[in-house]
Amino acid sequence: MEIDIQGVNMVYPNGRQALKGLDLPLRSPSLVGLLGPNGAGKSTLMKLLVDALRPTSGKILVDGRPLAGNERSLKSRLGYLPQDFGLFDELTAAQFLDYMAALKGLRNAKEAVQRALREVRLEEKARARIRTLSGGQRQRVGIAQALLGDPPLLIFDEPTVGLDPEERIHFRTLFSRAGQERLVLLSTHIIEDVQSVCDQLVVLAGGQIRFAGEPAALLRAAQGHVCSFWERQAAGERSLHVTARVHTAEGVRCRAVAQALPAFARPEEPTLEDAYLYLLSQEERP
Amino acid sequence: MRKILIYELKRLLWNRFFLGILLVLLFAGWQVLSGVTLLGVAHTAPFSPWSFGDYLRRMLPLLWIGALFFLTRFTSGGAQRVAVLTDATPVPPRRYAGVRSAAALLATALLCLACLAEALGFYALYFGGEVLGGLWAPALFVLLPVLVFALGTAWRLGQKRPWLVFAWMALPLLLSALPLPAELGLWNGTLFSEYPLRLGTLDPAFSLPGQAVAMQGAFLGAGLAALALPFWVARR
Amino acid sequence: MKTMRRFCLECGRLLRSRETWAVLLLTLVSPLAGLWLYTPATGTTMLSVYLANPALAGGVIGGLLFALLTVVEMDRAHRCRADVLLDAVASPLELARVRLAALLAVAVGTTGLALLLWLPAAALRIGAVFDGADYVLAGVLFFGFSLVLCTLAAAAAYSLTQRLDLSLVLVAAFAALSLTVWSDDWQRSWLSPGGVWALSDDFSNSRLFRSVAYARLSWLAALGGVWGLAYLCIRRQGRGLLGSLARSARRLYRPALALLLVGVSAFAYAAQPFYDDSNPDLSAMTLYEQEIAEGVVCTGRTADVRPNPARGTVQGAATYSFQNTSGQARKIAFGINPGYEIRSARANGEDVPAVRTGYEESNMALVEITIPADETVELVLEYGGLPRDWNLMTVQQGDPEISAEYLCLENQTLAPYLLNVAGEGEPIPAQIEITLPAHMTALPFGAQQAEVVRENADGTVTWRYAGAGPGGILYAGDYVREDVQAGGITVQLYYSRKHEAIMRQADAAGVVEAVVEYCTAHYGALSFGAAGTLKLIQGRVRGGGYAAAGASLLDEADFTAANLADGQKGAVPGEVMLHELVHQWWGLGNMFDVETADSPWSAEGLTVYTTYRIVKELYGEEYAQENYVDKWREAVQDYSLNFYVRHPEYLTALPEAERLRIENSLSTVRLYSEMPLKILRAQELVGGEEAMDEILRGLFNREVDWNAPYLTYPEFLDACGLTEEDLDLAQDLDL
Repeated sequence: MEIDIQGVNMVYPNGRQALKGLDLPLRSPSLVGLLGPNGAGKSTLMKLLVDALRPTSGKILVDGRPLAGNERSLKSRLGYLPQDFGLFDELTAAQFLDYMAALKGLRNAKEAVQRALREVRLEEKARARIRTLSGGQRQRVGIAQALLGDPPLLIFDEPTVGLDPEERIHFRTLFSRAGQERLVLLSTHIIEDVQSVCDQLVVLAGGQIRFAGEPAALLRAAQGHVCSFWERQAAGERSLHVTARVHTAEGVRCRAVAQALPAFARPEEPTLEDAYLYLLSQEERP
Repeated sequence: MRKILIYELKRLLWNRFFLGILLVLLFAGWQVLSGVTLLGVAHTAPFSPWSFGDYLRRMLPLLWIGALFFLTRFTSGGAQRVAVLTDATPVPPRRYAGVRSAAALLATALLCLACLAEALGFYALYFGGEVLGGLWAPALFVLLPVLVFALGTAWRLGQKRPWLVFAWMALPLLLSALPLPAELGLWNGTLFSEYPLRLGTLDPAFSLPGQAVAMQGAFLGAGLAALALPFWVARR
Repeated sequence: MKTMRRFCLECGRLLRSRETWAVLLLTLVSPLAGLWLYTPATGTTMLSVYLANPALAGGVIGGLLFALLTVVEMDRAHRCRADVLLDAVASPLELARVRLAALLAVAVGTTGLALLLWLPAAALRIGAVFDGADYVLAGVLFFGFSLVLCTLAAAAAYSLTQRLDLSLVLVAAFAALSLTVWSDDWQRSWLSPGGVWALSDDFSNSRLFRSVAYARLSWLAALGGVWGLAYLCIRRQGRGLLGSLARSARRLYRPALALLLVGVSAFAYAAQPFYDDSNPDLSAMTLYEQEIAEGVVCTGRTADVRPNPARGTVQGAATYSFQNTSGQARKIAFGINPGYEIRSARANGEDVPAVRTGYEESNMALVEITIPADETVELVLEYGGLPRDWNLMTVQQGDPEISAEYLCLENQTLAPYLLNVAGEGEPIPAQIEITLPAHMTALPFGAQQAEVVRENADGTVTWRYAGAGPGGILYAGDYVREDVQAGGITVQLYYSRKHEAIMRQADAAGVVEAVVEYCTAHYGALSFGAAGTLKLIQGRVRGGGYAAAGASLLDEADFTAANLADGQKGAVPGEVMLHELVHQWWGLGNMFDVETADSPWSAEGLTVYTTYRIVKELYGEEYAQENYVDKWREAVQDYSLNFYVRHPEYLTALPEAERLRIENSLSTVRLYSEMPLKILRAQELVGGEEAMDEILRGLFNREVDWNAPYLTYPEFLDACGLTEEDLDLAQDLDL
C-alpha cells in the first residue's frame, strides 16, 4: 500500500492553520511513528488520512489514486483508532465488535471478532457490557475494532494511553508484527513505544514536518549534543536544555541537550528521547 | 445491514429507558381513556374512529417525545463519539443512516402499538370485543405522518445541535395550546371534536377533510424528505 | 459550615450561568400567559382575571422551566465529565443536596422577584378591590409552590435515573398528567392547583387558600419524600441503583425521614379535611327517607353558633325540645356537616351516645341519637369543627368561607339538621344566636331579620333571629344596605362595602327594580315575607345562586369592574342575580317537587324562561335570542345527540362510578335548557307571549291545595291545553 501526501495544507474554520505544506510518502510494509508536541498537527494528519477531514489544499493519493472520491476503497482497507472515541456502553465487547464487523462488511465476522478479542487479550470480557469495563479495557476494545479483518492500513492515535506497562509491551509487539506486513501509522507521546518498534519516524511541529526518516538518522543528528553534569556546576548556564534530573548521594545529576556542550559537562550517547528533544530545542532557538 | 438493524433495535429497546417510557405511556393512556375518551367526542361513541382518533392525538405529544428520545441515542454527545469509529468504516453513510432511521421508526412503532393495544383492551373491557373495527384508519392518519415528521426533522436538528432535539420535544405541547387554523386541527383537537359535527349526520363514518389530509401528507412528505436528506447530501 | 460555603458557591455558580438567567427571566414574564393563553380560572372577578390566572400560568410555565433547569444543572457535572473530579472532593450525596438547595433558593428568589415586579401592575389593574394579602398568598401558593415542586420533582427524577433524557420524560409525563387528566382534581393536580376557578374580589378567600395550601404542602411532603428516597439511590462508589440505596440507607434516619414524608403525604391525601365522602349518586335520598320517629314531634330548637374566623371553624351548641308520646325510646336522625363532630349529647341532662353511621349524602353525615322514653325531652348537642364541602364541589373550591370578612353557613353547617322528626303541625320554631366580629352584619337568608342582643367584652357581637324548619342559611359580612321599592315590596339590597362604588355605577338597584316590577306585573305580587320585604344578598363568587322565601342571592361576579368596562357584557350585568330573583316567583312563590331523572320539569325551567323574557325586554330581542334561546338549543341538541343518551344500554353496562359520573354531567342540561325550550314552544302553540303570561299568571295565583302544593308538569300542560307530545322538541330541533 502506498500513501502520498502532497502539499497538504489544513486551515480550520476558526482560522487556525494545523498543517502547512505537508509532503510525506508512506509505503507498506512499515511501522511509522508520528511524534510531535501537543498541537503539532498529528491528529489532524490522521483525520485527513481517514477522510474524517478534507485538506484545505494539496492532495492525498492512495495507491496512486486521490483519496477524495475513493474513500470507500480506503476505508475498506483501514483500521483506525482515534485518540478520543466512544463505545456503545449498552452492548457487550463482542457485540460491539460484531457491530463494527458488520459495518466493515466482514464476511466471517464471528471468527474476526474472536481473533481481535484474542489479540487484545479480552476473551474473558467478551460477554461483559462495555459500561462495566475499565478505562484500559475500553481502550483495548477500541484497538480490537481497528484490528478487525486484518486491514492493510492501521492508524493508531495514542493507542497505549491508559494501558498498564505489561499491556503496553504486548501492544508494542503486536504493532511491530503488524508493521512487518502492513502499513501502520502510530501517533504517540511515548517515545519508548516508538523507539523499540518503528522503522520510520516523522516528527511534526507547528504543522510542519521537522524530521522524516529512520530513527538512527535522528540519533545521529544528536551525536555530540547530549551531556550530563552536576547541577551545582551549571548555575547560571542558559544554553543547556535539561531533559532529566536524578538525585544521587553526591548531588543532583542532570542530563541535557545543547548546541554546544560546556566544558564542565560530560558528553553522553544520545537516546531517541534526547534526539527528539534536541530536534525540538533546535526549533525553539531564535 | 440486518445485523446493524437488530443491534440498533436492541440498543433502543433493551434498556430501562424504554421500559420507563412504556410504563409512563400506558399510565397516561389509561388516564386519557377513562377520563376523556369514555365520554366520546362529537356525540360519537367512545369506540368510534373519532373518539379513538382523539385519544391518539392526546397521546401524540408523549409518543413524539418518546420518538425523539430514541433519536437522542443517535445524536447525543456519546453517540457522536462513537461516530468517529463508525465513520471510518466503509459502510455507505446513507445506508447506515437509513438503517438507524428504520430502527428508530420501528421502536416508535412499538410504542404506538402499546398505545393501540391499551385502547383496544380498554374498549374490550368496557364495551366488549365487537366494537373493535375500523380503527386502523385514524391510527394511520394520526400517527404515521406525525411520527415520521418528528423523526425526520429531529434527526436533522440533532445533527446541527444535539440540544435542539430536546427543544423540538416541546413542539406538540406548544401546538396543542395555540389556536390553530383548521388544517392543523389535529394538533389542538378540533379535528376530532368539531369536524364530525359539521358532517351533518349522526355517528358519521370516518372521513377526513381534504385540507387535513393534505396537511398530514405534507407532514409525511417533509418527514420522509428530512429522513432522505443524507442520502443526497454528503455529510461534511 | 462547609456545606454552607458550598451552598453559597453553588448559588454563585448557578447565577453565573446563562441558562439560569434565561429561565429566571422567562419565568418572570410568564404570568402574562395567564391573560390569554392559559386561563384555568373561569371566574370573571377582577382577582380571577388579573391575579389567579397570571399566577397559575406563571406557575405552570415557570415550574416547567425550573424542572428543565434542575435536570440540566444536575446533569451538568456528568455532561462535562467533571463528576469524577467533583466526587473526589465531596460525596455525590452532598453535592446533590447542595445543588438542590441552590436551585430551590433560586426558585424562592424568583418568586419574591416576581411578586415585587408585578405588584404595581396588579394593583393598578385590579383597582379598588386589590388586596395585598390575596396578592401575596396567590403569588406564593399558585406561583411559587409550582417552581419549588417542579424543582423537587425534577431533582427526584434525576437522582433516581441519573439520566437527562429519562428524567425529562418522567417530569414531562408527570406534568402532562397534572395539566390534563388530573387538572380538575384538587389533590392530584400537583403542578397547578386544581379547582381554583375564581377568587373573590369583595370578600375573603381564606378557605380557597387553605385548601390550596393543604394540597401544596401535601405535595411538598410527597415530593420531598420521593426526593429523599431518590437521593438515596444516587450512584456512589461504582454501585448500581440498589447497591447505592443499600449503602446510603445505612444511616437509618435518611430512609426513615423520606418514608415519613411520603407517609405524611399519603395520610394527608387520604384524610383531607375539606371535602366529604357524600354518595356520588346525586339522586340518592337515603337521608330524607329515614324512618320517622313515631310519636315524636319537635316543639322548638335553638342554636348558639360561634364561628372562629381565624381558623375557619365553627363551634356551637344546639338544643332540641321533643314531645315523645310513644312511651318508648326513639332514634332521632340528624344530618351534620361531615367536617363536624358531635362533642357531647345530653338528653334531659343525661349523656346519650351520638352514633355517626358513616353514611354521607348531599354534604350531610348521618348521626343517630336515641332519646329516652320521657314525655318531654330536651336534647343538647355540642358540635363543631372545620366544615367540609360537598365532594362534587372540588372543581369550585372556596366554600364554605368563614373569615372575619365574610361567612356563609348553610343548614347542616349552621347546626345539626333534624331528619326524621317534624314540627308540631307547623315548621319547627327556631331561635338562632350567632357571635360575630363587631363589623359584621348577620343576614339570615329568608324573611327573618337578625338583631343584636349582646355586645361582648372581647369585641364580638351576638346576633339573634327567629327561624322556622330544621335548617336555615346565614350570611354575615361587612355589608352596605340599599332599599329599593318595587312591585309593592321593599327589596333590601345588601352588598360588600368594598364594592359600593361599582354597585352604584352599575345601577344594581335599577336592575332589581326592573325585575321585580316585571314579575309583579306579569305574574302577580309576592305573597310571603315579613312586612313585604325581600332580601337580596351579595354572596361570595360561586358561579350560580339560589333563593329562599324572602331572600335571593346576588353573585359578586354579576357586577365587576371588568363587566362594566366590557361594552358587550356590560349590557346585562347581574344575570345570575336576575335568575335568583325570579326564583322568588317560581320555586318559592310557587313550589315545585324535587326533580326526577325522567322529567325535566322543575322550578328551573320556568325561572330560566322568565329570565330570558326579562332580558329580552330590558336588553333587546337579539341579545336574548343569542344568549338564551340559541344556547338552550345548542345544549339540548348536544344532550340529545350524546352517545349515551341515544344508546343508554352502553351507559348501564358501564361500571357504577363511570355511569354516575356521566349521568351527573348530563342531568343539568335537561333542567336548565330543555325545559325552557319546551316552555318557549308552548308559548308559540298557545299564541304568543301575552297568552303565555296569562297562563303563568293563572298558575302563579291558583288556589293551592296544601296537601299537594307543588306546581306539576301536568298542571302546566293542562293550563296550556297541550300534551306532552306537543312539546316534543325532536321535530323543532331537527334531532
